[in-house]
Amino acid sequence: MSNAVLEVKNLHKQYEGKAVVDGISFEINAGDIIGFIGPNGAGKSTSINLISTIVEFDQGNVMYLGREIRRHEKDYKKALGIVPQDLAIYEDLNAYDNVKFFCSLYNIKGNQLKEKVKEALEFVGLWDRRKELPAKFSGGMKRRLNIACAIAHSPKLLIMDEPTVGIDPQSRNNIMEAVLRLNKEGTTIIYTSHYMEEVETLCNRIVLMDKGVIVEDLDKQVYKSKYAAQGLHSLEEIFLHLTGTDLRDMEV
Amino acid sequence: MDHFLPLLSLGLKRRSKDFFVLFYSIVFPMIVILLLGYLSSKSYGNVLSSYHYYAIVTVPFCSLMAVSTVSYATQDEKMANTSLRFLTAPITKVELILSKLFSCAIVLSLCNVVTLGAAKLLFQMDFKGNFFNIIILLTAETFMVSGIGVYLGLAFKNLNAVRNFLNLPLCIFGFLGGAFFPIGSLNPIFAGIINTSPLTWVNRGIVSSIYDNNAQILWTVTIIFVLIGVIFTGLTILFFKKEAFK
Repeated sequence: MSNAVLEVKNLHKQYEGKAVVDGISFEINAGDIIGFIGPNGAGKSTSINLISTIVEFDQGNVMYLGREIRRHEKDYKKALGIVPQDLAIYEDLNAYDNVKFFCSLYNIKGNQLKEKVKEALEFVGLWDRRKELPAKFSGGMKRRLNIACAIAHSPKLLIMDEPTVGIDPQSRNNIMEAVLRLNKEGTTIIYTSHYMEEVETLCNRIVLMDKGVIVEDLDKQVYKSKYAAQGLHSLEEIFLHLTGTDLRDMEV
Repeated sequence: MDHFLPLLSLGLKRRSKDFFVLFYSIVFPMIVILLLGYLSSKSYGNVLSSYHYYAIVTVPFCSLMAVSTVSYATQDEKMANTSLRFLTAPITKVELILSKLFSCAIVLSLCNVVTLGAAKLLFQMDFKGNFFNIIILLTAETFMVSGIGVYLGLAFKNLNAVRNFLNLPLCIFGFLGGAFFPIGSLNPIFAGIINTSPLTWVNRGIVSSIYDNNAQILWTVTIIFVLIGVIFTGLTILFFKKEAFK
């Protein structure tokens, strides 16, 4: 029996006749931290949008716990958390109200809501600053609040889209520790980043996309041993080997 | 409808702190009433003073102009980048659309109550027992305006293009409805054109209920506004586009 939490099967998405996602398939098992990587314009963000139901796919299927997400969208959404790449918080609501509002969208009420909000803010180290507006926060604190808003409802599957962009090493380290703690507590995570060392540290499996297709999908250790014979030791070296060194500015 | 209340509560909180809503629904109409009322004070009598006239016509006009404000309000999430959280949360589009509609309609209606209440106190306006009826009419108008604004914001393809010329037909409606100065004609063609403005009927409804003790037009217009609001809300639910919200 499959241990897959999420099964992505032959997913297609076109924009103006151009295939942006061209038949990708992969599985995510319970407890995984999947590194979902690729150069700019590879189709990662579109794939994330398809998996998270933000955009509808043209062909293929996505199954959550063996059930089609299109047919059981509400149940799937209850289990899903998303940390968008751009900060998704209200600047005019304090940290507590931000987390409380987003958590309340999951039909959590009363004392349970209060507890969940407290847990999430404590988890990201912002409980003491809960009454402050995000406008007063540093970039790292805003990123942590962005995460708190995504985890307060205790999602089973968490999609983190470049959660450490533009922050200092201390905040990044703090977020990476938080990702590992969340995973230990039973959350399955899809993690995208352009920082290869982050992916290397956090993820147990890596899915590499380029030009709308999956180029590699391997366990991290298998990855390393597979390419070590070619003199490629770090994930960054393997990434550049598989996707080339050409700039992708034109393809974004 | 499990998620409607938190969505409505957020909408009310944000709208009640919205500078544009408060300014264009309370401060701006009061300035217009004071200014135009003062400038034309010698042209009116005591029963219907210039301040009374401009209070009656300016509040509905500013309510109609709020279409643009509502269409912007529907894009709150787009501006704050929080739309992705909405789209991935287990909320329905009906809950989302109705929360937008009612939060805008409630706050705009409260602004109308404040403005008209202030005008009543400042200019000793005697509504002859019709204050509540007029508030109902204006609430129906804001419901219609919110319905149209939400439709433009969430279901219409080229919102930015529409916003550029939206104020023109609204100002024409205002002109025809007598929002700038009293207008009327014996010419049947021009009289027909005047009748195309919803503000003409709002103002007639208010005037005839206060001064002729006849509320028939007022209630007819109220019902029509509610129906138009319901139709636009239905259209928004039907044609809601994730892309417009994202």
